[in-house]
Amino acid sequence: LDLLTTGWEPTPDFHDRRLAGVARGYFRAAGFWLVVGLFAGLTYSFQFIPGWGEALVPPSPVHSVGRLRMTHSTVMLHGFLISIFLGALHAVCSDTRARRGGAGTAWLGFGVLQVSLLAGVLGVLYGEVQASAFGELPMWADAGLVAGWAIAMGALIASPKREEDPWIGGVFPWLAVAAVAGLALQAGNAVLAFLPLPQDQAGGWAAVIQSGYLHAWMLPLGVAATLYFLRFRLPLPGWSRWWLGLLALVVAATASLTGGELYQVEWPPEALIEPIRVAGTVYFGALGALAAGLGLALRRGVAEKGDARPWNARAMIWFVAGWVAVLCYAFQRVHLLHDEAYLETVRFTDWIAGHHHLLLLSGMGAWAFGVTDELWPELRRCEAWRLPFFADVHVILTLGGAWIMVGTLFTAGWLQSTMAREMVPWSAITEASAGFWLVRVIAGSVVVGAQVLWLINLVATRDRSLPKLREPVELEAEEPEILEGFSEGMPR
Amino acid sequence: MNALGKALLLGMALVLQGVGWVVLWDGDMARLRKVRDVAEGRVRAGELLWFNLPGVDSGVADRAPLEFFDMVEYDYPTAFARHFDGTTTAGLGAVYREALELGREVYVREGCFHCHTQAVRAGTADVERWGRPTGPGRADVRVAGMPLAGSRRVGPDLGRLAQRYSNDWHAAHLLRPRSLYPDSIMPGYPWLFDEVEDGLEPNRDGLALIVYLQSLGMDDGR
Repeated sequence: LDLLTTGWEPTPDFHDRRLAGVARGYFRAAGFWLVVGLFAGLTYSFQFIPGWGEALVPPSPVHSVGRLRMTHSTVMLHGFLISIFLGALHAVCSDTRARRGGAGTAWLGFGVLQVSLLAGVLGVLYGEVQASAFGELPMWADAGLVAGWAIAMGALIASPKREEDPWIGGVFPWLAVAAVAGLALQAGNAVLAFLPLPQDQAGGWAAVIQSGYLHAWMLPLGVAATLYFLRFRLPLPGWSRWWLGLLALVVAATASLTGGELYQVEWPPEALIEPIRVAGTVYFGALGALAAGLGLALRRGVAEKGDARPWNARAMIWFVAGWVAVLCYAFQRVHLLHDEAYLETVRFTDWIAGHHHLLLLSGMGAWAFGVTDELWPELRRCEAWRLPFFADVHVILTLGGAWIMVGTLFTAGWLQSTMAREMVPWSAITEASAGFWLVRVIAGSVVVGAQVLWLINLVATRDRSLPKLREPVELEAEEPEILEGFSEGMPR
Repeated sequence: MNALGKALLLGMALVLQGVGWVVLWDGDMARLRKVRDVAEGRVRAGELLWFNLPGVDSGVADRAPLEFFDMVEYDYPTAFARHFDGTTTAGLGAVYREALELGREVYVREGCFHCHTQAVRAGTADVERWGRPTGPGRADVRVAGMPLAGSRRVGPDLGRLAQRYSNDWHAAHLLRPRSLYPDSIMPGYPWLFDEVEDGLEPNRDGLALIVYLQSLGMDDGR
């Protein structure tokens, strides 16, 4: 386990330009998918406001509610978040030259992932039959994503030069969990679609996969990218590597036990309920401890190294906001495991959507923006964003909009649940929800607006002195050579 | 860390994942007991297979509801003849299965499961509103594929929709939901309909979706 305990040493300041190019590619792809995903989400939610649906979104199969909903979640997960995190991992490898080999494999993984996702999204919009498990992507797109994921992750973790960047050891367990879980879950999804399982058995597996997507794949990947990044930029004390690495194993075990419990149609046998609850509490407790412990580790790192960024730096605001969201998420998940009344409040209501937005937008989305905030100017060889005001406004509008959206969805879920328990007619429940959906759309529009500023900044931030090759080159004037047999002035 | 250490670490993660999944896997302790039975020679190993062989449940699928025969013979006979082959008495079983499977695909393709559940949860107010809890048979047991229980209800539960409404009601509702419920927020699905001489009628996808909806919960203790 020397991988986890090797001391950290500052790395020389140089870049592997080829890998930096891959990182830029991932960030650009993330920007593209962010636009697609937010547009799909906004167009989807518009249709819940009475009278807005027909006015703004004419009926068409390509942008019907169900297909846009699938596009939104798929693109935000596979297109935006995963692209940012993979980009961050490549960028750090580029900085530290921690990876052997060329960028060819990395580009191959990037290409397979992006092409598969694009084809998959087009397939969804044009009514291609989706995977049976969640209906999110066509089967062939799932296969492409599995292949791209395997190539990209394989290239990242297969041959790191640990002697130059030993800290990759602290991240390796997270990456390993994410890589294995990503492959296993996608492959399991494909297998389930083809196996004629009895429905009650298939339901259990589907629930495990659904929850596993978030807990065993996305979360470890996000943690890996964020911690690796933070470790490189903000020196963490050596002891932090130990428990971070061990936590990866805890997550691997307990996410599996708790994952999908909520969505199962039937509860597990009586004897298993309590162990599952205990395991789930350990998992979410560990997640909360990670959030809190990271703060302590950073403080310690500041004291030891004295070169950490100030707490009010923009990237730090993103990271801390993300960890606070994860802490809140872990807290409410523990309630879900132990409190039947709470569980009933949540079931089948807007709370579910709020719960997903809390983790993916307010939590992991904030990490993703924090990583980009630190990395993008550097990747473009700038000292800072070209439009720092836009970057500041981006933080405020995104976090503000996201938390309003989450709060609105939670409140709407509580209201829907209460009305449902009181046997209020369904039409009255949807009517009462309309106001919340309106606020949600407005909050979503604010978030979308913030991303427009971010994208403008993304494009505008580049070192304008870079394209030196384009500067006019003065050549010595030469006397025109007249070839024998050609008359003077004849074009050559 | 050397290669052995890395392999051990990876192996531990894999084993823990695997153990977790197997333990959680729908809590079916009966299957674990069956493993013991196989080990002790009381049950053939083949019974450990986790799936039914294709065709085993074909009898269920061929027991079509009356609404299906209404569709074929009275409601949309020309549309059915145009879009499905073999609508003779002898071939109706195969047509019913084909329409059911296509209907489920349309249900998935249009993302109906994002707004409608097919599950009544035990021990909750669900039972007061929708009736007794959904059993292991599930709502759409007649069609192979992953369950579409859903996780959110923007619209009502569809777990026992079968035979509650006429075929025409479903057609009108899918075409223009607000023609039946003025306050409905459900979008219309006009692309599931074709223009004919005297108006609109469900196309192949529309017919299939109605067949699927009319099957939901038919085998759930009714």
